[in-house]
Amino acid sequence: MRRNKTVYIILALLSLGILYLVQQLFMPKYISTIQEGSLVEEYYLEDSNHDVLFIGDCEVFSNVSPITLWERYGISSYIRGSAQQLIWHSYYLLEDALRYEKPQIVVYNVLAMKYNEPQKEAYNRLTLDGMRLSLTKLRAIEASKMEEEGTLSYLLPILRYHSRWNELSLEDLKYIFKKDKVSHNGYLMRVDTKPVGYLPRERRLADYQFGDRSYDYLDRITKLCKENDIELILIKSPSVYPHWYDQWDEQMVDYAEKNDIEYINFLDYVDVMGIDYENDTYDGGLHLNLKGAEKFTNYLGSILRDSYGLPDHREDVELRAIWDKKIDFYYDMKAKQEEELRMYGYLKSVGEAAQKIDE
Amino acid sequence: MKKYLILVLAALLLTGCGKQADKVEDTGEDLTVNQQGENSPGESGKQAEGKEDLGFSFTSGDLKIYLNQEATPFVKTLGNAMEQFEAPSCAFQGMDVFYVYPGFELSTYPLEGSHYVSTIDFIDDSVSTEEGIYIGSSLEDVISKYGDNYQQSGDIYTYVSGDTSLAFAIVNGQVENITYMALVGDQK
Repeated sequence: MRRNKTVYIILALLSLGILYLVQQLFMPKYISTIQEGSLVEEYYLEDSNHDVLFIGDCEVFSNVSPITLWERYGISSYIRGSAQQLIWHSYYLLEDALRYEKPQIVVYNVLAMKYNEPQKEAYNRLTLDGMRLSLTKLRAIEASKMEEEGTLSYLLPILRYHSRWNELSLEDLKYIFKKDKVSHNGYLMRVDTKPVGYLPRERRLADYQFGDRSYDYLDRITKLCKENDIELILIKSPSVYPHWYDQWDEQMVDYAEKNDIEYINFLDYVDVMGIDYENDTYDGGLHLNLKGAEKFTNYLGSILRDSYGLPDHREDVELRAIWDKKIDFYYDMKAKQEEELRMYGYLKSVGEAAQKIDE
Repeated sequence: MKKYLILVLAALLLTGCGKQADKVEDTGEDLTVNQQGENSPGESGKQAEGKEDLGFSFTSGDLKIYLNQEATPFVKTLGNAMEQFEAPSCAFQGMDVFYVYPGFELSTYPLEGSHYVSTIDFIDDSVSTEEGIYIGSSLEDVISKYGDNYQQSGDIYTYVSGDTSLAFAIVNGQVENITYMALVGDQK
């Protein structure tokens, strides 16, 4: 009888092990395509705390370079960004990050205030699948899921991805346990250039008021930061599309005033930062390329140092050793991308072609 | 016990099989209802699920353009755009593409490798709706042509037909902007 019990336990553990392996195999790896899907989980590889934590969508993970913040100011930072990160995603990613560290400053990019409801399952997946299992993740799933989505498939992703069996590739096998890093403390590098040309018309909206749900989560972010003695800064990153309406800007100015926090619309400082949309964007103004990101980050760093008194850690031997490795990785990738540009005339590995896996 | 374990595992693996759960980028909005197999402009095929109402359409020259229909044939027929803008989503789940033609801007949304007409936005008074409303028409003109079954939100008067809307921005009693829009997902 006792022997039978042992056999059953071994069988159960073996089955769970197989299930885990299969799940790991079937999960999308987001290495050669849609690298944004790797951002959330890469955070857990960090082994040092950060002065500044950025949260938000592509306007932070494409536009801010933590390496530049370190190199120029000795400020350590991380971007907890993800694709089309909605404000409830941001709140829960912040709550999640605070389980591991307590930064001095949190910077939130406010573009996502315009979305009051979940948009797409795909975007939920790109943010939530990478989160470690916790009560925070459970709450994030509940807040984010679309009507037709269930919670279970986020906890047991094999339920969602089992149909990938016919599209598994060597990449799925290669990265089954360990993935290559794709970001630089959450920053996704692009060195190519596509100047701003035509921008779509600024369409009149029936209602410019941000939704109640957006404000609710902004309140939660503000409260969470205050409870943890963290300075919150709201920013609008200097991307020229999607259009940032004056009416939206006014609401953020009002909110910041009422809550005694700073809001900076960096679109107003494009000239001061020296951003040139002929050369500093890789997709016609939606996102900054490396040159643009470094200019923006340099300016942002001066504010963090001068107005918020963040210390320079570059003399800290331990931190310096950690950041030296990050700097090497940064310049290696920069060199590789520049070489690719020379060879092909475009970024074959991370550009549009690589992203179109659905076509 | 062994059977129980096997059953549990099988159930776990099979749960959700009835649901379309392919690639992440293929999921999300319920856009498939608008997907068409036919590509011919002007006879863009029937709506999926037996829907017949194609909603509002816009005519440019001899070309009748329907929203939510595959855009490529329309774009080909319209010829070279004066301007073009591609807007990748945050995660490159395809591109929204904007084309500018004389008098209007047409945008498309991506779905499973194709592009569908998303919006038509008037730029100036050189074009008009099929009912003869143009930028500069009066609110009375709009109501006389389209009736009073509109939704008003601020300056915007919106009419809905099928899975499409037609919105007029009225400033000082006159039409300042006209936008046709495909209604997808929660907009329906």
